[in-house]
Order: sequence, then structure tokens, then C-alpha cells
Amino acid sequence: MQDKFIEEIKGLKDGELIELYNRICDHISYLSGSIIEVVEEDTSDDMEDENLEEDLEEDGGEDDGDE
Amino acid sequence: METNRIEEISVSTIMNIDRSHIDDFIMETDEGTKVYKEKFKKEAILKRNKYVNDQLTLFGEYKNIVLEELKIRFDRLMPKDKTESYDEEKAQEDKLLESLIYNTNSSVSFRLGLAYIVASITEETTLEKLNEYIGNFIDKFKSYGITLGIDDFKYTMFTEKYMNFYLTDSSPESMKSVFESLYFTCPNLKLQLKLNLINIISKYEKELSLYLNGLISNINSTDGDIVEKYVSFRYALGNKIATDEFYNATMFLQETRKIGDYLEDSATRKKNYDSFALNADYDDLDQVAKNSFNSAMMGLYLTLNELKKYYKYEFIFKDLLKRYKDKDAAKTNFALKKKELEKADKDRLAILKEYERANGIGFLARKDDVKIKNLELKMNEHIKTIDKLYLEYYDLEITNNLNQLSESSTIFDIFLISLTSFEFLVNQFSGEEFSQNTLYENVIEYLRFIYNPNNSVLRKTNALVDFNITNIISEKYKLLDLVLTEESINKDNIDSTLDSVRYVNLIQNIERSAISLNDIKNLCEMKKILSSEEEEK
Repeated sequence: MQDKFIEEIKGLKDGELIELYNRICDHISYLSGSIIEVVEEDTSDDMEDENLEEDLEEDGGEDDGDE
Repeated sequence: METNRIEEISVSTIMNIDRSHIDDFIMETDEGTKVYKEKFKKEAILKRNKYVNDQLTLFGEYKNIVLEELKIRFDRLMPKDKTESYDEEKAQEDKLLESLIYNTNSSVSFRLGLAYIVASITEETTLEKLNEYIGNFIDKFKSYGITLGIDDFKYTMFTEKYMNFYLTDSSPESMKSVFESLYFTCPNLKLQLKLNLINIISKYEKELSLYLNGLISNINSTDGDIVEKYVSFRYALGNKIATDEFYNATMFLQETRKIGDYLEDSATRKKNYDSFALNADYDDLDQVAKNSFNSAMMGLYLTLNELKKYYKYEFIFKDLLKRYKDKDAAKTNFALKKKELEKADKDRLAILKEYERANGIGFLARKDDVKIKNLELKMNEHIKTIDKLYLEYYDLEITNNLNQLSESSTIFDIFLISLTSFEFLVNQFSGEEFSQNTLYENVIEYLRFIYNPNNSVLRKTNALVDFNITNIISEKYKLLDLVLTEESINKDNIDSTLDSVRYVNLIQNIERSAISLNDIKNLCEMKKILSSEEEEK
């Protein structure tokens, strides 16, 4: 594949080679921008919230504001 | 055209496939449960990302291959630097100019370079420099086969004393003490030494002329007509440098000029070309008219450079023209002044003779201290008179030399006359404008102006009738179908006009060289790519 590519670019004029380089760079930018970040669903926060609600219920539900 | 060829390359096909594959990648499904749908999406992202990453690796490799090829192409396309070879040719050119000076109608001391040494001695000269100049003077004579001894320095009693020490022990300490011991009895010792050197040149004039003639015949037998040889050599070298591919490409590579402004579709290029085209549109001209325009523009570039230099030295020309009116009277006055100077020199010798007798030297002579003191004072005063006479003599000399001109003399001929009096040149180059360079450098630059191979206007314009140089030039180029007003080339505007002409000239020089503007554009782009890659590393 690479050998074929090397062979092919040898036949290009200087201006064409520069143009090809720019296209490859554009393509690399396009490819880099195409990667999607995989976000793992994190449920630990929900668990913490649930625990907090339980604690509040045990204490009488609301802060008495003494402090 | 370029685009099509790139499209034919397999990588272009891969890039197109990549785009459609990535953009059309199925990321979601409507089928199945929510958990299935999420799982499908997650797997699709991973699959797509893997594909993208594989392609990034692949295209990273392609990019490196192209970069390697660009490096090879840049090195292949970049012209070789011929500076070393040009330096050698410039040295040859300088040598020819030196030979040309030998052949001018100037004085022997100017042609042999002795005049520069004499002119270097001024009121401001330090003791160290004074001794250095005297040493150079003696060495120059030695190179002509003449060994100067104390007899040559018996110009005054003071020069004799000073040089007696100089010739036996010229160490700085010794010379300093001699100078200090003589200074109070002879405050113008530097002037006396200077006049002594002038006197030595005149004393050995025959020998120096013989030596010079030997040099000239030697040069002429090997080089033929030296002026012709110098002019054609300089023209050829100037042409080589102007069309040098390395220098012209470097101008753009170093971004002294922007390549985009010089390409055919550039608005700047159109504006500059159109400003000189008769119908204000260069592109509308047919090929014959374009060729004639280009040839006229090349001539105009040389003419304007000549005119710019002319403006620099115009004050010399004007001074000589002013003197021209007095040339007839100067003929008689010059001869009289010469006689006066000769008499003053005889008087100097008489004072010296009397001084010797007052020192007890000679038949029946007796030492007389009072007379010694009186004669020393007399000599100091007499030297002032001689100096004044010399100044008057030189002033008349240049005016008298204008008698060599004829009614048909050109501006060039007038400038040539200026070379007949070195002292005249010394005065002309004593202004602030020339203080950045040494006298030698100023004279050489002036000689280069006079003997410029492209001085066609100066060589053809009659100087002794009323003329308007801007009118002559603008009319000439109007006849060649160029737009050129007198105002655009006057002293105030010549620089901006020359900038536009220089712009066109650079394109013309590149077009007649082995590199094209398109090649230079490619070199600039390649350099930009390679430098940014280098920076990233």
C-alpha cells in the first residue's frame, strides 16, 4: 500500500504534492474531530443523593436553623 | 488540473471512503429494549472510534511520506548559493576598477593612491594615526622601488627633526616625546609633514610616472581597453546577480517580499504594471506591445538607477558648471599661481639654508641662537603661506582643467573632469552626507557611478546647453509607450517610482532566469510546511 503511495506521489508536480499534503492534514483534522468520547454512566452520585435523603428523613426532615 | 491528478491517487479514494464511512456509520437502532439500544450505541462508538484511530495511524504515515518527499523536492528545487563565486568576480571587478583608475586623466598621486594618504592628514589626526600614515607613505614608495631617507624629509627644520627620530626609533613613546618637544616651537607640525609628503611626490614625479606607465602598459597588454573591459565585466556580473535564482528566491523565502503579490493573478502586480502602461491596462496589450513594454521597463529601471545616483552627485556637476564660466580667466591665474607656489618653495629652501648657517653649518658659518629662533618662527609663518597658496592652486586647477571640455561635452565628460583634481574631490566629499564612509570609499563609489555600464543618459546628454534631465528621460520613455511624468522622477518622487519599476524588474529578472515565480511559490509553501513540522518536533 505504502509502496504504491510512494510511487504515486513521485508522479505529482510540486504544487500537487503540496496540495495533497494539505488535504492529508485536513483529513487528519477531520479524523481527529470524528472520535467520540465514550462516557461511562456513573450512578454513584444518584446513590449518594438517595442516602442523603434517607439521613434527612431520620433527623426529622429539616434543619432547625439553631446554628 | 492539479486537483484531478490528486483525485487519481489511491489515498484520495481512501479519504472519500473514510468520509462516507464515518459520516454514515450507524450509531443507533430503533429496535430492541432500552438496554439493547444503549449497548448498540456504545459498541457502534467503539467500532467507529477504532476505525478512525486506524485511519489516523494510516494517514499519519502518509503524511510522513509526503513530508519526506517535500524535503527532497525542496532541496532539489532550491537554487545553489553562488555568493562565493560572485565574491571572486567582485574582487576581479574591483581589480579592474583599480586598473581603470591607473588609466584615468587624474594626477599620478591619485592614481597610485598616495593622495589618499596625504589627504588623511588633517588637524584632527592623532599622533598615532599620523605616524601610521607616514609609514604607509614610505612603504608605498618602497613598493615603487624608492627608499625614502632623511634627505627627503628636510622640508623644514621641524620635519627633519621629527623624521630623524621616526626613521631611527618610531616607537609610540619615542614619537610622543619628540612631538611634544617640537609642538611649542612648531604648532603646525602636522601641516608641515603633510606638505612634506606633497613635496616628496612632486620631487619623485618622474619616477612615479615611469612606475605608473609600466603598470598601465602591463595592464593594457593583458586586458586591452580597460574601460571597455571593466564596463562589460560589470554589466555581465550585474546581470548574473540580478537574475540569480538563489538571491531572488531568498527574497521571498525570507519574506522580504510576498510571493502572493508577484503572481499573475495578483492585484498588486496588475496595479504596478498598469501604472506604466499607456492605455492603463497591461493585460489588454497584444504580445508585440507587451514585449516592447517589457523591454522599455528594463531600460527604465537602469535609467532611474542612473538618475538617482546623478541626483546624489549633481552638486559636483553644478559646481563644475558654475566654474565653467571662469575657465578662461583660470588659465592665466593658474599659471601665475603655479609660479607663485614655485617661488614660495624657493623661499622655503632659502630659509632652510639660512637656518643651517645659523646652526654653524657651512663655510664661515657661526651658531646664532637668536637667529635660529627667528628662522623657526619665519618658517612656521611661511608654511602657512604655502598652505594657502596650495589651496588657491587646487581651486584654480580644477577650473583650469575645464578648458579641456568642448561645446559637445556630455554630463559624463564633466564628471570625468572632476577626477583631474583629487583635492577638488576631497572638498566635495567633506560634507556630512559622506561622513559615514572613508574618503577612499566615497571616491570608489563615485568612480563606480561614473563608470556605470548603464550610464547612457549621462553619456549622451550635452552638458553645456540648457537641459532638463527629467524631461529628457520622461520624453524618451513616452516615445516607448510608457507612462512616465517628469514629476514622478524628480528628486522627491524618484524613490516611489523606482519602487514600482523595481517591482516589475524583479518579475522580469525572474522570468528570464532558470526559476519561475511558481517554483518560488512552491518553495515558500514547502518551507512553511517543513518549518512548522520542525517546530512541532
